[in-house]
Amino acid sequence: MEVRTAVGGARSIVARRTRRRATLAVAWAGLGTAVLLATASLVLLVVTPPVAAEPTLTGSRPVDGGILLAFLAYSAFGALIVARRRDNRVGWIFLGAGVGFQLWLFAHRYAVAGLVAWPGALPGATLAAWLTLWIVVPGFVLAFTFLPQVFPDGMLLSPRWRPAAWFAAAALIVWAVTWATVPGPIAGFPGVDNPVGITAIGRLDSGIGWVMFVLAVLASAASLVVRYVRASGVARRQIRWLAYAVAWMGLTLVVVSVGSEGVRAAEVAGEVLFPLAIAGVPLAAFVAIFRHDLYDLDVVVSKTLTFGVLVALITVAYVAVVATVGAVAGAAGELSLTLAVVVTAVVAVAFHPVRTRVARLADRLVYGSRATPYEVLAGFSRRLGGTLDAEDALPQMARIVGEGVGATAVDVWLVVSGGLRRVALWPTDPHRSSPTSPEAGSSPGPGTDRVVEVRDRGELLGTINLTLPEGRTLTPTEDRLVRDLAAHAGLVLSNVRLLEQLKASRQRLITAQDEERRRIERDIHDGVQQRLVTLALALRMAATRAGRAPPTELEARLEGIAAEVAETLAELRRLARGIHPAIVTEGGLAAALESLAQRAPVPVELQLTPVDRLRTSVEVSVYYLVAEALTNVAKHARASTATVALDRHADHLRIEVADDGAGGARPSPGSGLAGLTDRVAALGGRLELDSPAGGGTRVRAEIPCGS
Amino acid sequence: MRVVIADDSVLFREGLAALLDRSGFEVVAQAADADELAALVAADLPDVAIVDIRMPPTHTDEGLVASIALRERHPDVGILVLSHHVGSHQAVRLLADNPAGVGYLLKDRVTELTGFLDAVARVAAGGSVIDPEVVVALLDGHRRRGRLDTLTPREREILALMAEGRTNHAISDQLVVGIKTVETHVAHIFAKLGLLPAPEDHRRVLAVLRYLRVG
Repeated sequence: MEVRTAVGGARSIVARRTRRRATLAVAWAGLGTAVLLATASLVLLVVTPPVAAEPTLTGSRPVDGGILLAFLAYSAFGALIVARRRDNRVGWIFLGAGVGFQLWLFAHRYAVAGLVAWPGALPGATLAAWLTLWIVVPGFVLAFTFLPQVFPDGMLLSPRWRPAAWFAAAALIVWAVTWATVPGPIAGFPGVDNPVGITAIGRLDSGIGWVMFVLAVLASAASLVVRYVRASGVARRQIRWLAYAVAWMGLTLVVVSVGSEGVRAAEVAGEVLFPLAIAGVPLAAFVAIFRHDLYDLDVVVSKTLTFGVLVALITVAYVAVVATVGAVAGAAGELSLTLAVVVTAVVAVAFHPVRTRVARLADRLVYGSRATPYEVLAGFSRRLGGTLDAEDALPQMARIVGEGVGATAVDVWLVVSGGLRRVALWPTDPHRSSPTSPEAGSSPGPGTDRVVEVRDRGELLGTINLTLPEGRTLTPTEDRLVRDLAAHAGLVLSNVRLLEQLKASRQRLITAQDEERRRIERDIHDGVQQRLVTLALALRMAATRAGRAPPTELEARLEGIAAEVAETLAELRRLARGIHPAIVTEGGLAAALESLAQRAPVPVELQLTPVDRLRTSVEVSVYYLVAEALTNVAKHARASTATVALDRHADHLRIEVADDGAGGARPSPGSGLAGLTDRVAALGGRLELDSPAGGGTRVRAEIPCGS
Repeated sequence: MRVVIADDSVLFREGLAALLDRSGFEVVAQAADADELAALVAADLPDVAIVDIRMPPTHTDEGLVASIALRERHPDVGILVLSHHVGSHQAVRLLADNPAGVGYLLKDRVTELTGFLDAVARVAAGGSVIDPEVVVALLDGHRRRGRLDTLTPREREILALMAEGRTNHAISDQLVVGIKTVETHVAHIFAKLGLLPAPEDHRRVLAVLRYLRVG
């Protein structure tokens, strides 16, 4: 048995290795094909003699060459992804699209050579011309529909998106077939008729395939958007990389179309940018899949924005200068190389201050609402004025600091007895690794770039730790800003600490009060009550010992005193119960609430979820709360029934006492309910009274009961 | 009848012992805490032990815990527990499994001499005694839950008296009605609660108690 398992295991390892080797072979063969095709295209591009009205793809041979190389990136990154993750369809899509594009480019070059440059010299030139009609379609459909559908993990978002994939496949076939069979001359090659032109299909309007393709692209984009919205963490960052590449492509297309309108500068920029944009998509996908943790996309975006705006500005200035100089010189159009260089240099120098501004603007766009130090400080004071709650103040402070200086992360640490405790973080990403508690006054901990101490009258209250984007440091202004904020933060932190101390002290008071009441109750039962019972017993015995019918006056008086003592005892019992509900500590909360329900004059329904024993102060508070609420129901509500519900939700105990009475209850100062509100608040909970006139009364409370 | 008293107050113990001695009971031993009680009961095997719920060291429910333990070890020894306040959950804990020879009274009842001596005797003889206030609390609780809704007020009154361990005769005396009338009511109560009438008085009480506990 064991032997067979071992053999089976070995066999499966061998099979896996074989499959892996086959996969790699296919991947490298795909890349090899693409490289061969690209090389052949480049050779043709160089050796083909210039011809008049040459049909180029982009308008010029050099740009055609650039695009050729750019499309190689598809095959290269595709093969790289396949080699490492052969299960991820993204790699195969790029590999396939890359080969498709190269086929298209090669077919085009070959047709140009065989039909225009050396007519009749190359075999199969007409076939190549026909291929240019449609061979680009598979690459397009792969890159624009299947890729967004399965990015980044190679799987469809869910089986429900399968129809979108099938539709994309259908669009591919319809588009390729309608374009491959368009009758008449082949576009770009006048005089060469489509060898497989089919009028019947051609009449079908070759636009149908295009429309289907556009619809498929929209569906795929929708899938990616849905994936982004649902995703978190890594998947989100991966999709942002791809989105960034696509956005870049979009910008480039804008530049190119401006260029095709005759703006020379935009044309030049487009010729450089377009191949880069093409190669950018597979590059971004590769980075997204393997290196998303290595580079900070935000930095890349910020640098791109700076660069893009600068290029645009320089272009505008260049055009302006050229137009002016051209008009002055009377020589419209061509400028000498020297003049172009001079203009560029002047623009570059003049725009250095602009560059700084642009970089700042780009940072602000990328990192959030950074403003001038004064604005940040003012905003800080304003927001702090708006909140008194310590739980709000610190996260707000972290956010203000973070947004103020463009940090990636801010942690606020509070000095508590025996060390530092992180009391706020920004952004509030629970996945963010929490840096280890830094030692006060020492160098910043790992992952922290700047630690600012918060002091109040010289006493260290806490620290503000900043993490900055890669490669960024605080400017002197920003550093001063953080220190100013830290000075203000002293007030906040000392407030927070005071509040924490106050909370603890209130809890101690409640606990002490409960303890005291319990002691008094015990003293009553074990001391006074015990003595009174003994006394009453003695009195009764004295009365009966003396008692021979008919009772004497003394016996009657002894009996009377004994009865009086018995009354006192009953009263004492009620009093003791009011001081401390012994039943809570002895029988537990459920038993205590049951006894309350039993004593209430109104029928009470109990909905108690079993809970473990809790802190005495919590249990006793719940008892007082229910007792007070039921007393109010009996006294004021004119209700026919009441409900007491108790359950535990995470680390909170929830209590609700509801009745179907007249409602309209108001907590008046000094009332039992007001006292209970304080008690519940002291335990860190809150109490709500909901009592619309005619709509019954609900008293709800939530008390933390962390285990 | 041989009695053991357990209470941490010497004065109370002496007073109670005096009362019992004078009334024909034989107080064989007195205990000041739960451990002493267990030792004394094991040594003397009395007819009944009168136990205060609160005893050292925590003064909460030591007496109750000790009583439940005694019930298991010496099922023939009657236990009368004295409580400082009405704790129906305590009574239920004590009477839950087998209420024969068990009693639960408020401590104050001691001063109602005849009633108290009667209760001691009943428990010693294997009967059950529950403080009227506890019965009222239990009955109220159950009435609210709708289980006893089918009973008439008179039947409920009689059930409460039964729960206190009274015989039909005692009930007829108390309510000033004929013994036959009481028997008819009792039969109705059993019928309505789906309980089979049992030949012995205290068995009926057991049934009632069991109903109160489970209901």
